[in-house]
This record gives sequence, structure tokens and C-alpha cells, in this order.
Amino acid sequence: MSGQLGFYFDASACNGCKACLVMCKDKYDNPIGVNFRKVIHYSGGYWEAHPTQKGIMVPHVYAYSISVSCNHCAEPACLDACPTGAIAKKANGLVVIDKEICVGCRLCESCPYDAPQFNEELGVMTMCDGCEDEIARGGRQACVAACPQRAIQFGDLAGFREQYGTVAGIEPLPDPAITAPSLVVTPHRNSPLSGQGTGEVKYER
Amino acid sequence: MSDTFIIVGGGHAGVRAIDCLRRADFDGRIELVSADPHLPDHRPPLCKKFLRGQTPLERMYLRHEPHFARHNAVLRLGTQVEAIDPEARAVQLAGGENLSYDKLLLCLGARARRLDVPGSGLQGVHYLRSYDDAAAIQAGFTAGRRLVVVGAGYIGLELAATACELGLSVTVLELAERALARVVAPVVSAFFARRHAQAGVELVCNARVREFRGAARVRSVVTADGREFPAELVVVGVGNQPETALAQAAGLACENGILVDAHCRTSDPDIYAAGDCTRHPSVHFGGKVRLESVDNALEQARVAAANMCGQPLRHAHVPWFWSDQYDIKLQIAGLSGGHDQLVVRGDPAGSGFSVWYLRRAEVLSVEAVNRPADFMQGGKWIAERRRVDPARLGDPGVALAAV
Ligand SMILES: Cc1cc2nc3c(=O)[nH]c(=O)nc-3n(C[C@H](O)[C@H](O)[C@H](O)COP(=O)(O)OP(=O)(O)OC[C@H]3O[C@@H](n4cnc5c(N)ncnc54)[C@H](O)[C@@H]3O)c2cc1C
Repeated sequence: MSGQLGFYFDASACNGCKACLVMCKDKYDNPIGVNFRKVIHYSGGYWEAHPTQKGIMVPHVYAYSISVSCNHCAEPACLDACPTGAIAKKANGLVVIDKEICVGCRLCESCPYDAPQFNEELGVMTMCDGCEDEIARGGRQACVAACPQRAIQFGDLAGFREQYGTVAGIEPLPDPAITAPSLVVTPHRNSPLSGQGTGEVKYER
Repeated sequence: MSDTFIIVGGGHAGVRAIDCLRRADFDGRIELVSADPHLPDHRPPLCKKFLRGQTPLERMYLRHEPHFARHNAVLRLGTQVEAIDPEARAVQLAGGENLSYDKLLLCLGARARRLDVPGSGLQGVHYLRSYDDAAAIQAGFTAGRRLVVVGAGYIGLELAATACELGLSVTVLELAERALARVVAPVVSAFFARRHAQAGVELVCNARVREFRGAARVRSVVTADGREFPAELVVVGVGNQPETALAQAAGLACENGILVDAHCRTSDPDIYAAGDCTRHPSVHFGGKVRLESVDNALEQARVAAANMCGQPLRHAHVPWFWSDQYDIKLQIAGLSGGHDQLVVRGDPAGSGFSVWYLRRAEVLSVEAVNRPADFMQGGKWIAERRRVDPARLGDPGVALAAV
């Protein structure tokens, strides 16, 4: 059995351009409203005392973007919710949907990352498959190849954890404890961890 | 000024309706009022995975918080609607606040039917509908305990399977002469009875519960023929009653469910209803039915939402259902009433087979045990009103596609 595949995302490098989203959408020819990957702009901040000048308050602000898709979780909530057995976790850790036995009930939308996407034309759920075609031929995922900032990588999760640490949740991503995502994030400077932010989502998709 | 749509009930139907209203381009105000104190959750895991004690509530949310924000829906959780005033087009909340609506959607669900016998108020006697019910049951789920389940319906058997896997000693008491008698073919009942016996569950049919015995806590369950079954924990799963009191008090037509038409409209043109609380005409099969299933709740919500937005849509979909017990997945499509022939495909003594209900060779329903492909094909055939050759259908040597 091979190890778990997953994503590395560098929030300190992402500029929110959405090339990842567009390339992915184009590759899978997804209709309007169906996005395997999305980009969220998040911003917030507060006032804090100046470190040296007494009585002066200065703003502590952050604004950054996150690109996120299916995280091929260790404990996928979508898989639990699926009534037909159409969602499975493969030996390489990818969570995949079998369109032949999916009935399109959309119960898997209970994913906290909003990864499974209902394709109304097909009547079934669809989502990121880790670009299996590229895995087979040793190529790069559409999102990875598209990113001008080199902020997304796909590969062996254990390797990413070794290299970049184990942070998997910064705002506004959900608490990683819910589904144990196969994701490693390098936070943007000042970005709060999941559940600790007071900022707001400015734009999504 | 834009319209306000109010949805009462945060179950499968109520939550799906929000999504469908926005998909149908409704841009007015949506408020969902639900008596449940937390974000709406999946009910099916409540008698399965949740009882194993490793599933936090967040894993069972139907949708997470950002979904409701994205859909610009206001949630009023932990809030009971006490009355509807159809004249004034307003609902009254517990505490007295009134909310006006342009259209109202009732997704009130059903409540577990109570067993009215002596001792039913004893501690340790449970019913199962909500997350809180399940949490109370889970607290008593300790290996070695004696559990008596009353009712061998879906919830009773699923719960029995989970309890048995957790090492409880389980007895199921069923009034009818077989398990799942109301809902599946005898051969499917027999299959499940065997599987439960194999796991060590004691299934007792033809057993009418007469009394729960105990001082403050339940100690045993007594049946009409005088047998006494020791119990430290009892769960009663003897069917549901549609939640109609609110609708009835508002003068809406009700008859074993809130009556709706094929557009999910009640007897009041501005009030719609969806899910377990309704009884509706079956466009495909004829007659009126009341279905208690996730699928029906989701589909009626979709139909109601479209019609509330002025997009005529009829509820003509073929209903489906599923039940998970041990390593078995039962999937059902269609309704079997009125069939004149039963065809079994595959070996019921093996691990997977399907039962087909035909009327003059037209496929009405299929019950598929560990046979997802049969279930999928069956659903399509039922919708197409496909006629099949029963002999070929029953011959496992003939591929389904070639029947
Ligand atoms: C343990 C369990 C296991 C199940 N397993 C399966 C399964 O495997 N497959 C399947 O298809 N179905 C299953 N079901 C059935 C399925 O859950 C129901 O059919 C489905 O929940 C119906 O959805 P609904 O929206 O109509 O009602 P519900 O989900 O019951 O929601 C009704 C909501 O209305 C609220 N409400 C009621 N009255 C008021 C009021 N006056 N004011 C405010 N709020 C109110 C309630 O609090 C609740 O939130 C199961 C049910 C249970 C309990």
C-alpha cells in the first residue's frame, strides 16, 4: 500500500489570482457553479498597543487568500454520509466518487470543505480526483501546474508534513479535527488558526 | 419589496429547501426556524456510527455554517413555532415574537410513536428521533449490558446491529410474525433474521409488549404471553407519527399527515409542506402515500422550492430508501403495492441478491441486498415503466442489461 496523497498549500505565497480554479474547471469542463477548487479571500484584524510607544494603538491586519479543494481526508465526512456506497477511499488515500452508483442525493455535501459538487446535468456528485490521469503518467495536477506563485503542491502527505509541518487549518478553513484533511498549510503571516479568527470572508470562488 | 419565505423545521427537507430556493433564483429573505438547538444534522447515523461514540456532532451536520451564510439564510435555532395565522400570513414563535411570510414551508418531520403500556415512563426506556435522543442512548451503551429493542423495523434492527457489534446483549421484540414485515419481502426478512441470529441478536417475533417493569429504572420487558425479558436499557422503535398539530390548529387539511398536492402545496395556497410530515399523491404509482425517508424529504423540498418560486414542478420521482446493518446494504427503489409477481435474482442464502416486484411484467419496485447495480438499474426501469421477462430477470446467468 502506498502512502496517503495530499495537498500542500502555501498561504504566504498565494495572491488569490484563481488560475488554479480556472485551470481545474477547464480541464474537467465543469458547468457554471461547479468548482472542484475554490479560492477564498479572508481578511480581518484588530488594534493593538504599539510595542514601544506608550498609549499608541496600531492596527494589526491581515488579508490573504486560500485555495482549497477536496482534501482527501483521513476521516471523510462525505464517505460517512453517502447512502449508496458510491464514495470510497483508495489505497493511495484519494477519496473518489463512483458515478455509476451515485444517485445524486447530495448528502455528501456535509463536507466541511464543500468539496463534493452536484453536477445537475449529469445528476451525480463530482469532485477533485487528484488528477488521477496525471498521477498515472507522473505529471502535475491542473491546479499545481497553473499556479504562477508555486503555492500548491500535490504528493506524499508524510513528506509534506516533514518538510512544512502539520498546520492544516487556518481561517476560514474548518477545524481539521473534524475530518483529518490530507493537507499541509504554510500560514500567511498573522493568519489566525481555524476557529480563532475574527475576520470575514470577502469573496469566495 | 422582496418576498420573505419562512421554512419551519431544520431537518433534511428544511435544509435542502434553502439550497433549492436559491438555485431557483429566489433572491428574497429566507428564514429557517427550527426547534433543534444545533445546526441541522444527519439522522441516519444516529442509530449506527454515532452510537459507537467516535462521531462528534460537527461530523454529522447536513451543511456547515458557511453554507447558510453563502445562501444568505437566517437560522433561528432552538426556536419552536407555536402557531400559524394563515389570514395574517404570520407565524408565532415561542416567546411571542411574530414573523410575517409571503410563503411558508412546513418541514416538521415526524415523532416516534409512544408505546402506551404500564411502565413506559421508567428511566432507561428510550425513543430515537433526534440527536439528543441518540446521545441519551449512547450514554448507556456499554458492552455487556442487556438491551431490549421493541420493534424490528429499520431503526430497531439498525440499532440492534450496532449494539451487538459493541458487545451489548440484544433482544428484539417484534409484534408481527417477521422482521421488517411492513416494508420488505419475506425472503429479505429471512435474510436479515439469519444475519442477526448469526451475530447473536435474539429476535422474538409475535411478541406484544404488555409492560415495562422496574422501580425507578427499567429492569425487564413483559410480553402479552407472560414472558419476561431482562433489560437494563430499552429502545422503542415502533413507527412514527407525522407532526401535524401545528398545521391542524391552523386549519390546514390533514389526514395521517399534512395533505399536499403533487406540487407540495397544502390546502392554503401560500403554505407548502415537505418531508415526513406530509401525505401526498404519488404521481408514478397512484394513490396517496406518506413516506418516511431522507429521499422523500429531499425531493419534496426541491419540488416545494420550485413551486414557491413560481416554477411549476411535480413530485413524480421514484422514491428510494436504504438501510445499513452490519456489512449489509439494503437499497429499495419504488413502491411495491399492487404487484402480482415476485422475482428473486441471485441467491438469498449468499451475500447478495435482489427481489423484484412486477405488475403485469412492469417493474414496480426492487429490494437490493448488497447489489447496488441492481438498485440503480431497477430505479431506471421503474421510472421508464419498463416491462421485463420474469424468467430472464430471475436468471443470474443473464446480465441485467440484457434482461
Ligand atoms: C435514527 C434514524 C435513522 C434513520 N435512518 C434512515 C435511513 O437509513 N434512510 C432513510 O431514508 N431514512 C432514515 N431515517 C428517516 C429520515 O431521517 C427522515 O425521513 C427524515 O429525517 C425526514 O426529514 P424531515 O425534514 O421531513 O424531518 P426531520 O428530519 O424530522 O426534521 C423535522 C424538523 O422540524 C423541527 N420542528 C418540528 N416541529 C417544529 C415546530 N413547531 N417549530 C420549529 N421546529 C419544528 C424539528 O425540530 C426538526 O428539526 C432515519 C430516521 C431516524 C430517526
